[in-house]
Amino acid sequence: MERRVLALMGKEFRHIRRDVRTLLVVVGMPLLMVLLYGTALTFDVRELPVGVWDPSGSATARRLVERLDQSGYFVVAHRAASDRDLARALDERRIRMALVFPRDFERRQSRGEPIPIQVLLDGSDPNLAVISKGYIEMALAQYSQELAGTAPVRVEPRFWYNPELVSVYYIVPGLVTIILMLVSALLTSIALVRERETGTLEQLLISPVRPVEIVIGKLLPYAGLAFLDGLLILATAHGVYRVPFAGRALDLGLASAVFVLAALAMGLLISSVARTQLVAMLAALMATILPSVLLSGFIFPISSMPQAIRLLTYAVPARYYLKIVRNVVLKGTGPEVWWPELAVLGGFAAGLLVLATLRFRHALYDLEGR
Amino acid sequence: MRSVCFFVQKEFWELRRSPALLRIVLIGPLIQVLLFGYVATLEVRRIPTVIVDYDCSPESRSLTQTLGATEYFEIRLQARSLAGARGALERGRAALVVVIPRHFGRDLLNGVRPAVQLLLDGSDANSTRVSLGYATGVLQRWIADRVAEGATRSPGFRPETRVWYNPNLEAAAYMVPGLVGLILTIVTVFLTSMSIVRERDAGTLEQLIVTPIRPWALMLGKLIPFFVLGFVVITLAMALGVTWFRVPVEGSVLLVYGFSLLYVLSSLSLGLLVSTVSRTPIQALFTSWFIMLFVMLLSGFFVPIENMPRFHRVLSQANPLRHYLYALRAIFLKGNGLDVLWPQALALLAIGLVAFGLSALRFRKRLL
Repeated sequence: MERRVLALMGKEFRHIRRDVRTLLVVVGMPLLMVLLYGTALTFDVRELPVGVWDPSGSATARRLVERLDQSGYFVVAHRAASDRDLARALDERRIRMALVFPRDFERRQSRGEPIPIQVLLDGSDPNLAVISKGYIEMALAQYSQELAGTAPVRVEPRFWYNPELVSVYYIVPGLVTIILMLVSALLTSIALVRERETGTLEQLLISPVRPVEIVIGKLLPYAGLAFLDGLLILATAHGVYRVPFAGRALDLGLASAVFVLAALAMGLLISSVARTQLVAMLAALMATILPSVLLSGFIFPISSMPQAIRLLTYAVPARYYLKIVRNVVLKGTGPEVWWPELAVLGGFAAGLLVLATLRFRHALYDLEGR
Repeated sequence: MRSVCFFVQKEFWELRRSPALLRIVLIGPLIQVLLFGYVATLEVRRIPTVIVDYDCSPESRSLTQTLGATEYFEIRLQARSLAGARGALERGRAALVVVIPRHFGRDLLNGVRPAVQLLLDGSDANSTRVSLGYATGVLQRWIADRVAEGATRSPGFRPETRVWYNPNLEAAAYMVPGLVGLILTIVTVFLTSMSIVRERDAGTLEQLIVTPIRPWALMLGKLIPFFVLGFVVITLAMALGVTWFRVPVEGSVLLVYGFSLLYVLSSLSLGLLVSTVSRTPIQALFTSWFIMLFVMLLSGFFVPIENMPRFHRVLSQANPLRHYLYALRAIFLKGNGLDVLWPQALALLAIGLVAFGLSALRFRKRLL
């Protein structure tokens, strides 16, 4: 059994090695992606253009606007002459947020009443709107605390695991997840179909190799390649962006092995169902690219999704792996914390492998019958 | 011109011969729009929260209740000490820990300014910041209510936030235009990236070369069937968005189609460029995958482009989806017309022409 598997693996390795350009593409592109997206995918607001309409002429309001302007988060890009002028600026996207101060600013201030400040946001880009809303509310809260001097309650936020809220730190685990998933599933998705299309599957069939052995022999070389990708990405992230690595490498290796196996099995399953390379590749793309970007919690928080979709995310392997990577890399926790996720991933891998082998055998007999 | 027609016909035959492919191309996008129409919101809801209450006074209980009554926080545990909360944060059972200090209620009444500590899990920095904003906001409102009751002094400013163009910040309203763009990209870039590579792989490219058909005509013939397919996909996805997700259509539908035409043209050309550069289907697959991710991630769909470093902002100008998305959102939500959106139209046209020109050039070189 081992010899036959080894021989098959050797054959796949030769396939990979013979095509140097493909190898370069498979290894080089993920690296390029980390470098390209590591700093780009940030939700930090910087120099958001803000418009102000202040009919009160109060000194406190002026100081507040100055402070906002100097905070680095906002730039006062437009001082409106009327509220209609402000609305037009928002309409034309010259500003993304508008602040309207009340006419009776000073009277309210002297009476110690709360001073309402209208914040207008451009909702056509809701993500930016949500984030800038958070920023402005924080800034106003902070300033009113200082202003009152005796604000009733102080708020002291602390961020654990990522004290400065550096975006790269949480983007990199997400990128590792997506790249591992895609590389593994895409590579294996065509592994079988290619044999069928070139007619070499019949030759495999008449050889004494069993379906399980073919499956293993086809999976392992690509697993190695995917692993290499993951390792390179993490090393680059650590070297270039100083992403910390709080946990143990062995833990991550274990989890990655299980995840890669699940992803490879998924590709193999697609490969055993599809009839042509084109269909296999497109199906693998559709089944992996959007779900692992959108449903894994990579960018959008799962807890905010509607119930039905939240249930659906349990069927996405990337969800579990992402959680483990974030845990190991940022929190430094071990399997005692994330064993449930690991167990589910293991279940996925086993289930998909069994399915793929069954389907594959079916496909072989199908071929035999013809 | 007649040769182009024949060629287009041949490509259509090839498409029709593969019903599995057609099924994936037509049904896949519909399922994805349905599924993902709800997903992409940065709004944070049901933040798993632990309250550590060292005070146990009526004030601390009232604050806890106010937090729990909003849809933002889901109070999982009310601990008496920090030790239990630390474990919850580590295990990911909680993303926010609110620590109410001893004598909180008494200090508040005496004006001593008690400090409420918020511990947040920074490993998901993106929702963390939003959660912090919400927690601070709820706290402020709670204090404001107590001021109204005359219990404490002024809280200062009270932000009254209003959102224009999409008042409820509904994800679907802007998600659907975005998703249409994304899915269209996946289908068109992938299919065209395979087109010429596959002829080469199957050895039929030589046959095409010896026919009198010109390179640009061959390219055009390759593009037209996918062009038609892309338009069918757009129409289906849009119809779903408008009927199921009730995406408002403020602007003109005709303009939406105009922009879609330009967009499909540019993304098809990109795919074609990939196809002329690649030697094997796997290379084409990975190259087009790389382009897809680039097009998706730097489009402003996931992350606002304003937040990106300068280099990426400039780079994203070459991204057709960026311009298409901007135009779609502006037409759907704001009802803008071509008088505002002409720069986007020009950009799309330019990208399409450059990509098509490059691939025609590249292809000619290969032929000789």
